[in-house]
Amino acid sequence: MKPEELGELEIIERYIILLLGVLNRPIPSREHLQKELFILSRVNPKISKYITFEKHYEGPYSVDLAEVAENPLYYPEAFQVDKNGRLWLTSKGKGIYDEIVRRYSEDKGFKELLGVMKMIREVYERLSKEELLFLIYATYPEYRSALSDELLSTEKRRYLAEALFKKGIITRKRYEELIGSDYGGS
Amino acid sequence: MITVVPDSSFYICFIDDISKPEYLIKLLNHPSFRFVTGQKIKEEITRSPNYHAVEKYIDDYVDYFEYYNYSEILRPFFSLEEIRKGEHEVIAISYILYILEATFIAILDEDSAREFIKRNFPQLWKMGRVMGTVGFIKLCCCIYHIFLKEEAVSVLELIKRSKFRIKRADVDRIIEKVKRC
Repeated sequence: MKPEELGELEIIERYIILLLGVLNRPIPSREHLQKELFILSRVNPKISKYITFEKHYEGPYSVDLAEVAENPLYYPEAFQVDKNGRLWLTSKGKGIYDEIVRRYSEDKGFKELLGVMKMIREVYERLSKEELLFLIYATYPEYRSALSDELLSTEKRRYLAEALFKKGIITRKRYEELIGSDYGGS
Repeated sequence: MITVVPDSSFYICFIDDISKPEYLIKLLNHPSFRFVTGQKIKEEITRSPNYHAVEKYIDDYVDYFEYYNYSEILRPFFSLEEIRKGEHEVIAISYILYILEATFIAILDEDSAREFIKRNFPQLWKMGRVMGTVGFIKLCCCIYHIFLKEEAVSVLELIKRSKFRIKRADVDRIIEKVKRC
């Protein structure tokens, strides 16, 4: 493995630690980890230099991210994953998180990055895996796959859009857009 | 100083709907406030045919929240029309200001955007810093004394008769409050 690749993996591990550290609870699934960091890469495109999201059966997906989430190289005991894919920081990981935050505490961009991560977790973790994939496919058509055809079928789309609207997590106009006959994603 | 994050309809209200850019300029350069905007909101207000009347003041007095593409955070939850107007960007920027412990006011005129905050970020809603354009005008009159009562009532009457999307009864309610404050 080339040294620069190792550097990239370390950065990915740090992003995982930061994302886990901003809220004192586990990330609910591997899919949430993938999609939350995908959204983060849309918010901060510099992240795309380190995490490459490719079109996958389950939408945007990073192989490197999946690998280091299971087998971290640089911070081997910082986080854990259970059989259901829930991820959480260990006490060692919390120490690493605190150290990174302390080191960059004067950096305004870094503080904002933590805020962005917290907001992403707060809102995206209100979604079930299916709702999460549905909204990602609906919003980013370039990542659609065979699974997206099923989730975006008229019947399934109506069911999921209604569930999301009832939860108050999409607006009425977004709901109407998602169930609309001219729907083509945004 | 209070950071103010308005949606695009706030700017459009003064520039196009009531054609009184001078009131907007008065707010933008008032020392009590620091106005901030994001990419989507800015894009929408620059589409106004009368943008030139305020361009210099927006360049001089409105800070650009520029580190990240904040509008991407909530994009999946809003319609294309709402995204174009930048309502979701106001929510994202307000949340970051909340995390940074800044004192801020979010101006959101769409009920759907306010409902979204209420349901998904109750901590923001409970702070009582989310209001509409007319509510902000009342605040500028009754608390900050930037507008005289007559001035505020005159602006609100213009808004009531304009194409700005708000129920007349809601504006009347605010007018009464301004008269009594």
